[in-house]
Amino acid sequence: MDSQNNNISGIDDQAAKWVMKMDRGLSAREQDAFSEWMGQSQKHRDAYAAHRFAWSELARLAGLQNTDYAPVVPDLLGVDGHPWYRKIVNFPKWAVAMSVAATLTFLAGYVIMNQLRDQIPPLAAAQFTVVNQIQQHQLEDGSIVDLNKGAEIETLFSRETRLVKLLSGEANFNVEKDPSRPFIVEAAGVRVRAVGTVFNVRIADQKVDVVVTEGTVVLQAPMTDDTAGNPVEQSLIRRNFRAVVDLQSETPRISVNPVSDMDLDSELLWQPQLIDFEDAPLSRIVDEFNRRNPIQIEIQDQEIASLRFTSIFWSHNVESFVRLLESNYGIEAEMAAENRIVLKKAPIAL
Amino acid sequence: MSDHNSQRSKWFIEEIIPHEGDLRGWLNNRFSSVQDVDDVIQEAYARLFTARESGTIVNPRAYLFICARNIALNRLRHLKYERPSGAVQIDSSEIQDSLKNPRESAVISDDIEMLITAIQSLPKRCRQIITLRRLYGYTQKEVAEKLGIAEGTVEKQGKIGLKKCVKFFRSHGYKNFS
Repeated sequence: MDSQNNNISGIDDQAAKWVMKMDRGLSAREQDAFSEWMGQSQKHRDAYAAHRFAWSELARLAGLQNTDYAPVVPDLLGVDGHPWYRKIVNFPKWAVAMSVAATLTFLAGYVIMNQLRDQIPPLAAAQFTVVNQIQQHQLEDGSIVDLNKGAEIETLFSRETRLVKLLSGEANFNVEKDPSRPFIVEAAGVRVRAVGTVFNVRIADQKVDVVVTEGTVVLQAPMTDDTAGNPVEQSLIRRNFRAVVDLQSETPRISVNPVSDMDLDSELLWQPQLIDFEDAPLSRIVDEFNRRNPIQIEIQDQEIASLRFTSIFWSHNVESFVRLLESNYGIEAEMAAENRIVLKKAPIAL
Repeated sequence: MSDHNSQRSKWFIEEIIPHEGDLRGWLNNRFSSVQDVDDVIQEAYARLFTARESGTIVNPRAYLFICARNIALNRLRHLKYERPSGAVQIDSSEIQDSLKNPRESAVISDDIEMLITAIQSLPKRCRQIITLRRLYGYTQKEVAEKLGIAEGTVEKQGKIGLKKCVKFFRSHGYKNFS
């Protein structure tokens, strides 16, 4: 074939072509040609695997629109398709880029957002993607960390210990059990040591705040290299207890207090949760979202407030929820202000 | 671990099994020449499990039906090659009615958002083809009919769309792309 074939984009092109052919079914002759192409180089096999995987991943969106009255819309995700999609079409790239970038680059991101504001008027949709940005990471040992907005961590894993430094902000740790390698979170010199537990650590106002929701952790404050100096104060914190270490006081002070389940829930509301509704009116679902998010939804027409849904949503994902309402249920959403969405009955289309 | 397993079987029993009757009836009806409907269903379950283990599925029922349909169509194709004269009819009636289920949950998470954004960023034709094929489960042939274009164009524009999606996934670090 042509000389393009050897470079990466040429190989990607062929890989994509084979995936599409495979998708419609290969003829016997094509089957032979495909086997030959795959046999030619590892690069071919890798590119094919990547494209095949991407193709199968896209199928996760199957049934995105799934109600009786949802028509088939080829432009469902198009610029010229649905009004809501049109609004956000250019933004999520920035939002994703910003979620990857740490606090350091936040300023740069802010400038970009401001520039975008000048170019394209309806920015609010993109802004709340950022406002609600909570990142979940899986660490190499399988433990899961949720970082609240502005939180930064650094991991130092060795054969003996799993050390995570919380540099700023708030994080929730769901630790994979491994008795031979304790999991240690260090926050402003305070060490929280766990084996397999779930707990929340926050640095704010010269205090380190630890809430344990599962299992037990050992708290040491302050962590010091000076073994001859200050004795380390150590404390065992159990499930449903909160420990606060005051960093300003002369001597390390750990105060430990019980937390009720209800308080615990509201403490940890920032974490994304799946909220599950069984035949619930829209008004209740909206309340749940409003309770958990800075962006507030308001229902203008009482007629839609009583619409009932059985569904599962991510608590922090207001945007998807509103989009779902718009694409499936004859509801129109309007960004009334930066942090306010108004829902109304959509005018009858067509 | 056992907790994870029991969660999974709970999900399977509550969310998936209830659709099996519908699915079986639908397969029997539309793909009467496929003998081993049980095998098709098993394979569709296997794919559904794999997908569920590695991320979010927007709508499990739709995913299951579309998987089963793809598997059944594949078998029909093989049948056709084995018996070139055999009267195998590839069913091209709409799949949409079987996907619809107003009580169905739609879960949208960050990985799903990125898939949506990837498709949104495509040129119009590519985007339409991928939407109809992947979101609505139409075959390439049906996509061609729907859009009033040649099948060859569907294949070619689909290829461009897929390539761009991979590029998007690589630049945004979707799952293990880098």
